[in-house]
Amino acid sequence: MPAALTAALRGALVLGGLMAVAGLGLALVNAGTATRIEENRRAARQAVLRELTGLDVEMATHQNVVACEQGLVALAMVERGYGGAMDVVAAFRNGRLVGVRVPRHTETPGFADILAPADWIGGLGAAAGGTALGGADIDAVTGATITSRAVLRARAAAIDRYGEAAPWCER
Amino acid sequence: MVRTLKLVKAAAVERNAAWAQGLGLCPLFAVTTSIENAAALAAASGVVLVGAAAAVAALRSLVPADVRLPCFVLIIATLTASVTMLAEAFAFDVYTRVALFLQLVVTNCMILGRMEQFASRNPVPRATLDALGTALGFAFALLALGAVREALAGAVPLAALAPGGFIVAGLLLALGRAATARTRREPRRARPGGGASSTRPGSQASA
Repeated sequence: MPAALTAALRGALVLGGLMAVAGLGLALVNAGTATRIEENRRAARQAVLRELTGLDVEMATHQNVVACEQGLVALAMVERGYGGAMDVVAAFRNGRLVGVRVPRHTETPGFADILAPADWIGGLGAAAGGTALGGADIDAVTGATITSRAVLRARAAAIDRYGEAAPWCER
Repeated sequence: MVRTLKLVKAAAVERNAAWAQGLGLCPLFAVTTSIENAAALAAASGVVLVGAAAAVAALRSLVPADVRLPCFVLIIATLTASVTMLAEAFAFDVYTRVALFLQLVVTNCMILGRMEQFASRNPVPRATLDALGTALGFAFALLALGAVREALAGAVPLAALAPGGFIVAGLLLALGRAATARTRREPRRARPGGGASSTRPGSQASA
């Protein structure tokens, strides 16, 4: 066998062997952490919803409705963001939109900073008192255009949906 | 023992990856808005650096020269992915704050640089000690910047933002240069234009 071929083969074997070991190692770490990671993510989602509604609510009880209690109605919408589907929850109190939160998303870290309650998304509820988008005159947030547009679309959809959900809640 | 200390000190102080070589500055500015974030990134980088150095040194006679870089990157990436998963499982609060930069540890040129320059040419104990020193030096750089920025952020909000990071880092760097220049008693040469760029070897800046 020519020397060059032997060298290439050796390189391929070493790299391939290393890949197999690395893959095995990652599979083991994943097996050891997957359940805990899922629990942590679930707890984080719950915390977002609790902060918004003051209640311990589960996602999607009846279609879009995740909570209806004492004049509070929370609707969960699914919108397509930059990294795929994201859950957007909008809470209404006595017919007024009080807040919008994103408990679950796969947006790029860093660009998703606008979804933190203290950031841009925190100001979405108070500004829009009515049933239309009005109030917050925003088309998108620079640097996170697709993410912010998805949130705004979901908010508009939730406002539309509220008309059906509110009577169902009062029943 | 003395040699061991010298090796660690050389890696941590004289060849400090961040201050002396200008490597790994991207996470340095992005994450050091508080001491806690800085410590988390320093710990993650340290674990990856030491683990990769030990692995690279152990495999150095086995890995052919022409595939060494893919092998280094594979080792570093595996360790980074493992650290990321472990952090999300056991330190979720910190993870949510530094997740992006935890994943970017893999692209930290400081780590690949140490593999190529040192770990792939030295036995495991020496490579590990060098990595430990480099990690300590990087941690010191992160923590110093984090501490100053966190202290300033109350009075000067700019300090918490990226531009503030550059300014604080520049000031710390100048301070460090001034301190080491005095101890080394370098003859002061008047440079035309008083150039801001350094003439020291190995001071190339990189993200």
